[in-house]
Parts: sequence; C-alpha cells; structure tokens
Amino acid sequence: MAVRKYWVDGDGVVKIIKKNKNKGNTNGQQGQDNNKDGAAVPEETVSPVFSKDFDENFQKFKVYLKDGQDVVFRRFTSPIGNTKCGVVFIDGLVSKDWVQRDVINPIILGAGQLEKSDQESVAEANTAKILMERIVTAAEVKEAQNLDEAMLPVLSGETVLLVDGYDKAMIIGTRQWAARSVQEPPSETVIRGPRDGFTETLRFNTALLRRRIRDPNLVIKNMTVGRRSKTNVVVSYVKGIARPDLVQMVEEKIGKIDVDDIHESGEIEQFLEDNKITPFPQLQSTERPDKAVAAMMEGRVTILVDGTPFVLIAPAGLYQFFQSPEDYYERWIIGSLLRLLRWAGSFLATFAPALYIAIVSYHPGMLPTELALSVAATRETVPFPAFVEALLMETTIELLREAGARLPKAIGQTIGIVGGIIIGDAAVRAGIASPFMVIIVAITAISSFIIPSYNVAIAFRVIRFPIMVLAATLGLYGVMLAFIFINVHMILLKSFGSNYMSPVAPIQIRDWKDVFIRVPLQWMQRRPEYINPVDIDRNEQDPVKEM
Amino acid sequence: MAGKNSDRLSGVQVTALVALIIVGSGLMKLPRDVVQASDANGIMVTLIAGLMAVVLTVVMSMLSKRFPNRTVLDYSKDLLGTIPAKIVNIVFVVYFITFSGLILRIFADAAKVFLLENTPIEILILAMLPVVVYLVQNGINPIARICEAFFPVVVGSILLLLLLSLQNFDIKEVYPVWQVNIVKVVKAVPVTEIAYFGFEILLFAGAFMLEPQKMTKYSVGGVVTAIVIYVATVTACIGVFSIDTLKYQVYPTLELAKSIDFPGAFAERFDIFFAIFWTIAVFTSIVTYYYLAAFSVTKLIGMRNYRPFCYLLLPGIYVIALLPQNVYQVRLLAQWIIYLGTAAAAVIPGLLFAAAILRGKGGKNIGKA
Repeated sequence: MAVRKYWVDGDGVVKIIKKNKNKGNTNGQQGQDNNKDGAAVPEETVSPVFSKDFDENFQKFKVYLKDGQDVVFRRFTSPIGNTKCGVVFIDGLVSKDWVQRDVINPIILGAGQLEKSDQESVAEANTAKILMERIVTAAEVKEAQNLDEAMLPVLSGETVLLVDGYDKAMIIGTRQWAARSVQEPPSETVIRGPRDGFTETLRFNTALLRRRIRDPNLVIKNMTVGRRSKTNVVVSYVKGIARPDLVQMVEEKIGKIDVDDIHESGEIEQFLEDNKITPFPQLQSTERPDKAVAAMMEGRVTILVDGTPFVLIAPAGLYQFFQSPEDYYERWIIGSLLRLLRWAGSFLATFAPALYIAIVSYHPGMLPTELALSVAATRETVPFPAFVEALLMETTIELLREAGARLPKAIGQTIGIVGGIIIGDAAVRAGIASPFMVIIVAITAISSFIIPSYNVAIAFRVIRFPIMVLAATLGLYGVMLAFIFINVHMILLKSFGSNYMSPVAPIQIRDWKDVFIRVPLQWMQRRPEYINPVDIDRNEQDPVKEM
Repeated sequence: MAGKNSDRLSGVQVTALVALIIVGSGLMKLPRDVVQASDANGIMVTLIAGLMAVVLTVVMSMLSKRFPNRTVLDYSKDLLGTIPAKIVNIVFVVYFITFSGLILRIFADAAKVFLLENTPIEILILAMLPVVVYLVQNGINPIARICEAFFPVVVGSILLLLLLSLQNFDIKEVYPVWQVNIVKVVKAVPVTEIAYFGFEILLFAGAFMLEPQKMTKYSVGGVVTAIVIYVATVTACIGVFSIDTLKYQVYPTLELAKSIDFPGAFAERFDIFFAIFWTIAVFTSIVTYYYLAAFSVTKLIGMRNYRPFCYLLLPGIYVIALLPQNVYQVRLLAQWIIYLGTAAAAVIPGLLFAAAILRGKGGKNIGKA
C-alpha cells in the first residue's frame, strides 16, 4: 500500500498521515485516499510522484522543507548536455566535505574526464545513469521512487540528488554529525574488561556488535518507531541461536508501538513489558557491547535504539541482573564469590532496615542479651519509634543519593561525604537516630550499589519502604509475608514468555552453573536451557554451514 | 513460548509440591500428636503411617494414569455415576476448605505464640490471605513453581535445624523405640496419618502433569522426602525433650528450634529463623488446598473459570480458621478433619480404584469408554 506519509495542509503545516487510524475521517485534509482525485486537496498539496522535470521536483522539496532553515538547496549544472542538477540536504547532519567532494565537484568538473565520444553518445534520457555510474564517487547510493521515500533519508542526514529528465531521486549516503565517540560506559564500570561502550549513534553501536561477532548469521534488522520522530530501532540476534518465535515476538511487539516519538530505549522497554504493575525490569539494559554480545550468544535478542547508548536485552531473568561481565573475566572462584556477595547484598538492601525495625520493636529477644542491651541503651535517647527513625534515615540517604546523582561528579562525591558522614554523625549526636540505625542505613545503601544493574537495584530500594511498613505493623511476620509476596510476584512475572525466576523456578539444574555461582568456563558448554535456543551446544562445528 | 508446555507440572514440581504440602500442614504438631497416641512407639508409627501414605500415593498415581488429563472429579462420574460423583465432589470441597482453614489457624496460633504475642489472631490471618489469593488466582503452575523454588530452602533449613539440635540430643531417650505395642501402634497410625495428608492432591495434580506416566516415581519421591523429614524430626524431638515432656509441648518443632544455641551467637533464638522457612511451607499448603477448594467448587457448580471463587471462598476459610475458640477446639476440628481426610485420601481413592478395576474403565480401555 503506497500510503503517503507526508503532505502539506492548507496552513502550510507538513502533516504526517497516521497509519491505519483516521481511515474514516475523510474531511479533505486528513483523508489521504481522497487526495488522488484532487477534489478535496488543498492548493499547496504536492503530488509525491516525481516528474521528469527537474524544476518541478526541486520545488516539491522546497515546499515540504520550506520552514526548515537548516535545509540547503543547491542547484548546479552538469556539463553533460547542460543538465540541470540539484542537491538537497540538511546542514549539520551531513558531511559537507563529502557532498562537495563526491557529488558536486565530480558533476560540475569531472564530466571532462569522460571521453569526447562518450559525451556525444550520452542521450538525454540516461544522463542520470552516466552520472551515477561514472561521475558521482560517493560510496552509498540508493534510489527513491517518490517524495515519501526520499523524505525520511533527507531528514536522517542523507543527500538527495535530483537530475533533470530523471523521475527518481538519488539518495547519497552522507550522514555525519557531531557525535560522542566510543567511551567507557559510566554506569557499568569494570576493573577488568573492555572499556568501550555504546554511544548515541546507532551505526556505531551496530558496528560494535559486528566487531565482536564476525558471523554472517548476525542479524541486524532495521525498524522504525515513532510517527514523527521515525526513530531507528535495530533488532539484532544471531540466527541459528535465537529462537525464531522469540525474534518474531520481539519484532511484533516493536511493530505495535504507536507513539509520536521515542527518546530512549527505556521507553521502548516499557512498551515491550508484559507486566506494568511491578518495580522489576523485564528487559535488561546495558551500555556494554560485551554484555550485549554475550547475551546474543546465549540466544537472546538485543534491541538497539538510535539516540541512546542503552541497549535492551530480551528476555531477561532476575539472575541476569546479578551478572557482571567481570565474573567471566576473572577466575571462576572470584566470580562465584562476587556473585554470592551480590545475592546477599540484594537481600540486605531489601530487608535490612525492615529486619532492624521488626527486631527492635517486636523481637528484641532474638538478639544476644548483651547486644540487645546495648541497642536498647543507644535507642534510649531517640525519641521516635524504630520505624520513624528508620524512615527518617532511609529517606535522608535516598535524598543524598538522588542529589549526588544529579550533581556534577566532583560535587556529587562531596555531597556523599557530607551526607553520609556529617549528617549521620550529627543525627546520632542530636539524638534523632541511634548509631545502629546509621550502620543499618549505611549497609543498606552500600548493598544496593553492589548490584550491577541500576534498574534492579533501584527496584529493590523502592520495595524496602513498603516492607518497612509491614515490619512496623506485623514485625517479623510481616517481613516474612513480604518475602513470600515478593517471591510470588517474581515467579508470576514473565519476560517474553520466559519465566522471570528461571532457572530457579521452574528448576533447570543445568542452568545453575551460572546463577548463584559461576563455574569454570570449560563446564559451560551449553547455552542456558530456559531461553530455549535453537542451538543449545556452544561448540558447534561450523556456524556458516548451518545458514 | 519458552519452556515446553509451560502450564503443565514437571515431575520435580510434583515432588516439591507433595513434599512441601505434607510438611507444611503436618510438621508443627506431628511429634506431639504421635507421642501422645503411641508413647514410645512414635518413630515406628510415623514410619508406618508414612508407608501407608506411600501405598495410597501409588494407588492414586495408578488411578491418575488410567485417566490421563482428568481430575478425580471428572472420572468419578464414569466410575460411580453422577450422584455419587457429586457427593465425592462435595466431600472434597468441604475437606479442602476446612483443611486450609485449619492449617491457617494452627499457623496463626503458632505465629501468635512465637512472633506476635499481642496481635489479635484475626490480624495474623487477614494479613496472610491477600498473599494467598494473589498466588491462587494465577493457577496451579505458579504454585508448583513456588514450591519448587522453596523446596530446597525449606528442606535445607529443616535439616540444619535437626543437625543443630544434635547438641541437645540424648540417645537414651530414643532407646525404647523397638518395644512395639501392637495395639497402640494400630490405634496411633490413623491419628498420625493426618500429618501425611497432602498427597491426595495427586488425584488432581495428575491431570496437570507433563508426563503422567512418570507420576508414581515423582509423587512417591515427594512422600518419601516427607517421611524422612518426619521420622528425623520425631526422633530429634524425642531425643531432645524426652517422651514425657514432648507430650505437653504444643509446638514441639518450634520448641526444638528454640532449644538451639546458634553457633557464633549473633542471634539468641534460632526458632525465628526456622519459623521463616516453616511459614513458607505452611503457605504452600494453604495455597494449594485453597486452590483445590476453588477448583472443586467450580467443578461442582459446573463453571469453567475458578477465579471468582478465589475471592468468594475467602470468608469461608476465614470463618473456619476462627471457628475454634481455643487450642482444644482446634484439636476437635482436627479430629473431624481426620475423618474427612480419611474419606478423601483413602476411602474415595480406594473405591474409585476398585471400581476402575472391576468395571474395566480407564487405562487401555480409555478409548472405548
């Protein structure tokens, strides 16, 4: 279906015809189907079909892009039969050097390189072909059949070349804009491991994947999301490892996203999630190409979004958020111990303040007598119940953390020190909190930073507040119920058909080699079973043959 | 979708489900009940009652294998006729509702004693119910997955408890174990059998199993796990408390945990740690029975969707949990449930099995029926 995506309405506003919607609405300006007969079409509406006349085609672009003062229209003449030519591009998104060197220069000057006989044999009709094949030296050239096809490339930074007597537009790849280069990802630092991270430019990111998987089975599939923003989204996976139905599910879900614009992969993530009422992320996001590639080699699908360095990985299970690339780069014993430490840390980050409240308020008998006495002694000066004390201190530390995250790095650290040490100390001296509470708060905060994925760490931090309320009302019983509830909740979660708690429930004991501990790499010859990859064995003979 | 047949129960899930339900509903009271009923023959009685449970488990597995993908409520119609099948259905409904109420009550009583002395028992029950409903409304598979996830944790914590209780263990208390008093044993076994209730879910679980032909192996595995835990716990309780003291312990297993000095002494009382894992086991029992209650009511009325009954049965279970006024009445309620449970777990499966064999239905004849 040749749906026109752009047209100019009576007020000169370029409108985007929404797919599928507005079908019934045919009041002239909106009804694209009525445009064909021209009856209901406003005067300035331009036919998307190119004619052979250069001036008419050039004018079409001018009408469409007249409000964009960063658009460059340049006419010139080719010496071959004095053919009129023109380029249209957006200043800032293209490399003007390339346009000049590869397009304008050769056409204006380079025609002299052709043999005299050639020049004479050039009939008017195939000037464009001669130009393409022998004059223009740009590497990437495509053709656009009509204005709609040409519009998105222009807006993405390609250059359109129009030639008189040719009813198509040539799209010349000239994208180049000011972009951040590949840098170390600040949100996922490792001590040992590659330092390169994804950037905001989609092409760089796919290149980073391609650099690591030199396999023709690596699929990089382009999709577009956002009616206005037309954000490029790439679905990438390894054919022959990733399950076809998983790939299909991802692509279908992305195809169904219907919004105006997408700024970040986090928005895509929220559209792809099955369960909206949960603090837990159902897709993993990463800035690290090595992490993304490792996931793809396990049979997962990655989703890259233009304009953000965060790449999504689907499906995601809870345990994945506890894995750091370093676990694999260091020796397995160290990796395993760190893994266990992270699980313990997540437990503390979630339950430590609640356990403190419950034990101090309801079950002081749980503590050894000396400890119970010293806790009671330090709490003597505190005028609040344990819950209020904990709530005050936990809120303070969240305030500090949030402030530290928003401030410039150098100041952020200062705030951390000021907050952590001075406020903690002052709170104890002022009798607002007991030293034990300060210890608990500090342990909680540090534990929550031990989880490699920010999005899961923040989820655990958020749920600890309701658990504190339960601890304050029902003591340990409440904490136990909260623990059960969280487990039930996570067991009910699904991510693209995979269970969130896999491989713990349902148990797949073979996959446990990489959950709580990390066994030596030689023992991990099978890909995780719960993702159900097409090819379960990592040492296949020759991947290319299986295409 | 991921995983093969993700709505079905795997063999391991059935093992975990059976073991956890049995342990969750019975562990707390068993050592005292069995000793009260049989004195020194407690260990023997626990073992014999367990073996009986194994026999019944095998019978149920064979029944389920004869009628794959059907629950007892479906095939009892074929075997007994419509009206008796309805009666069977009603027995199951009443049994499941009252038993889940009883478990909830026993649990709440213990939680009150050990965790929250000043909190009304109503609050303890009400706090539990939302979590139960949250899981139940999502079906049997998430319940099985919860069991699967918690199974190692619960079994591990019980084993740890038993290991730590060895420091107070006096082998002399266990000695008269082989002085068998046949009469007492015979009388005590049916009373003890209540601790093993839970395996009757196999009459239903068979319909949801991925590989029904392997059901016997996995379900017996679950019961045997429970037997091992029970025998070890009874032995430990007798060894630590001596028989005469044990008779007057209301919650012997929790008392056992309380008697432990945790090495390293960062915590004074181990019973609270144990109570956490025990809560999980109890939770799985309540959830499963509650799910089966909703499931049976749905079948009885002839509806397809059981979800409305997840909410509608709540008042019923709440009232039953609060019906006994004191611990003595709880025991009376338990007595009645033993009769119901015996009907549900022994008489009905026995009758159905006999009928299936005599009338030659199910199994190979399934296509002809």
